[in-house]
Amino acid sequence: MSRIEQTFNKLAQSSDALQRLRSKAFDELTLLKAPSKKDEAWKYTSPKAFLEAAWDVNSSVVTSIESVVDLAKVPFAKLPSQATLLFVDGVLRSDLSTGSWSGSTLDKAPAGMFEKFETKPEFFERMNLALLNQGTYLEIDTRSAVLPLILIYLTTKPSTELAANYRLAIQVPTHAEASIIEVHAALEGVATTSQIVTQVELGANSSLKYVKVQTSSEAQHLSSTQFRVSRDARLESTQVAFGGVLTRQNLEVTFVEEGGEAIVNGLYLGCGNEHIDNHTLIDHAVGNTTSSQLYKGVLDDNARGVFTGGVRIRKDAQKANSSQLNNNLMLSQKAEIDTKPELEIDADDVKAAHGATIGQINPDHVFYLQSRALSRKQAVEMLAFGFAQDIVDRISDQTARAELSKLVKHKFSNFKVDA
Amino acid sequence: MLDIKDLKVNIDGKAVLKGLNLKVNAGEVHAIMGPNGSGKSTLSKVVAGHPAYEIVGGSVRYDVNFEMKNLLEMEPDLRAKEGIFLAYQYPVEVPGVNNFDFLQTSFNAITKHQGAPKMSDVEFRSFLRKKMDIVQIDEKFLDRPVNVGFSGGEKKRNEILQMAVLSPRLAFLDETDSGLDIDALRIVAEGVNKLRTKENAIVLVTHYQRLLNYIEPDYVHVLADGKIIQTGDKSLALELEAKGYDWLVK
Repeated sequence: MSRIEQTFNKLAQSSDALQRLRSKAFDELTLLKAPSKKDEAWKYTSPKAFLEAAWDVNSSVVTSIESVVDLAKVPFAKLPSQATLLFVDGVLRSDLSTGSWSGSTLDKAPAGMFEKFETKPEFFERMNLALLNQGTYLEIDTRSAVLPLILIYLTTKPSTELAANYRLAIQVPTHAEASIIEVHAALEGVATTSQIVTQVELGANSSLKYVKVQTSSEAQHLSSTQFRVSRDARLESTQVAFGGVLTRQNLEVTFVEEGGEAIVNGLYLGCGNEHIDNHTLIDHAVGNTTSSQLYKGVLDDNARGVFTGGVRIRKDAQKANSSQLNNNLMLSQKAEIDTKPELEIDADDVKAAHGATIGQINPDHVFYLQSRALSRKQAVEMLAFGFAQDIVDRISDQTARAELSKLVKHKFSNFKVDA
Repeated sequence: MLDIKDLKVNIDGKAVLKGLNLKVNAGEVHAIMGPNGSGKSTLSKVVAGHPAYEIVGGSVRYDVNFEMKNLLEMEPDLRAKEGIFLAYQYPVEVPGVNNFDFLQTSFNAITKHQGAPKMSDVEFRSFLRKKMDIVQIDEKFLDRPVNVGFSGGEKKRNEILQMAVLSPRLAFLDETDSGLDIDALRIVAEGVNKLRTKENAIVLVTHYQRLLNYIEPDYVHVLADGKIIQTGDKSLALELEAKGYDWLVK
């Protein structure tokens, strides 16, 4: 606990507006045990590397971003948007952000917003807040925007020097329609660590398309994305992970009023020694709510994937309807997937379907493409691309779809395809 | 162009082809007819290089740059690059792979191998449009996943479209007429006739004679029990239609 305590104390000296939030989180954190592989939630993914990263105060902010990275090469950074916010190593760079948005520091979030999201305290989520250097509260415009709001989190420093930590709270007002794309990128050749906690409140009758993309294959990345869905609101969430030395994505959707709908999709593509762990929890706290989850993964070489798909239907949540499907395509004998549904259903008049598949590429499909002059590698790549592209095709934001297709194609060019 | 000698092939340890001989020259159209289970589909798949078949004897030689090369040593994609094409009896559905991308990737792989310049997207699209007219395929098929949700006739037409795009030197058409109604059969057959040249050869593998009313063969072979037991001209097909296979297969 010493490093966490040190950083907390360092931050406490600044006694800024966030201190009240940090203190409360720190007090709760001290009551929690650091997670280990003995915990069910970390059974297949060791949290050790996350715990050992340098969670510190960013004392040397990158001044000249151009000297570190060509932003044109950062996925999504130069695409047309309503606004593009750039966060570098846990600091919002207003000077490098473009477009118009309405936001302030995290402490300006409406009173009681954070309490709503606090259910069972979780170690890393509490740590994120206890050690928070800076956070942002965003209020989405009530007029619906045609273009997405793009959030780019760029990590430039090695894990041993600084682990980047950020927190965002987003309010989607009643009847608003919005599209948000959250992108995590890291400097090439640098072993970075980053954590992000994002809490989004969807007002009644609002509609939100939310795409989260983890682009770096060298990074350690930990995220918690939480949505609260109000009456008749609609959420379309897509989480895409292009590998990562260690990527752990937690996603929670809570229906707090009736009539809500959530489409929760995911795609993970792992090669080499990459490790991608997705944990979802869809909480039908009230009835007449609908959720559908579809997560697809393609794993090559020594890559490992984990999918733990949680669905909770509470006692009085009658007429809740949930489905969950996890499909995996294994391109190597050594690749591994651990997939597990966790359904907890306490109401009787509900629908709850779930399924998981793990398969290899169909040799007849490969032969068909080979007989049309494609090499074996080209054939397998094309078939894997088709399998993965299904998730991308389901995204209704055009900007996200086009860029992700390119990234998916690029990712497969790094696959070995030996199977 | 193609010279098959005493070819013996097993699948799952069972003999399917038992000493087959066949010679195909440029400009010729051959029909291979025979009862079910005689080895007709096996022959096409072996020529295309399907890995499930075990070659236990004989040879298959194919003309590559005026030299008869051992076809059996070539990977399936290399065979395609050298001009061999198989129109499948049951074309495979490939979910998620867009038909246009598939045709373009395939076409580019072949032109690259043959050292021809690469077509731009615009050039390829206009080239493709002309080929689509041959088999009367609507442009909307290009944006759909390969064969997914296509009717039987549409799948077969898509196969002939691929043949038109790739312009193979040697095409095996495996039961291309099966499952087609008379209009679809006419379109497919007319498409094949338009692709017939002095430089290429076509082998029609079929159970029924009716396809041969539309595509006139130079030779008709009867394949039974893994061997070609009779060879003749188109009149042999009519004789088979009238008498069945029993009089030959004793």
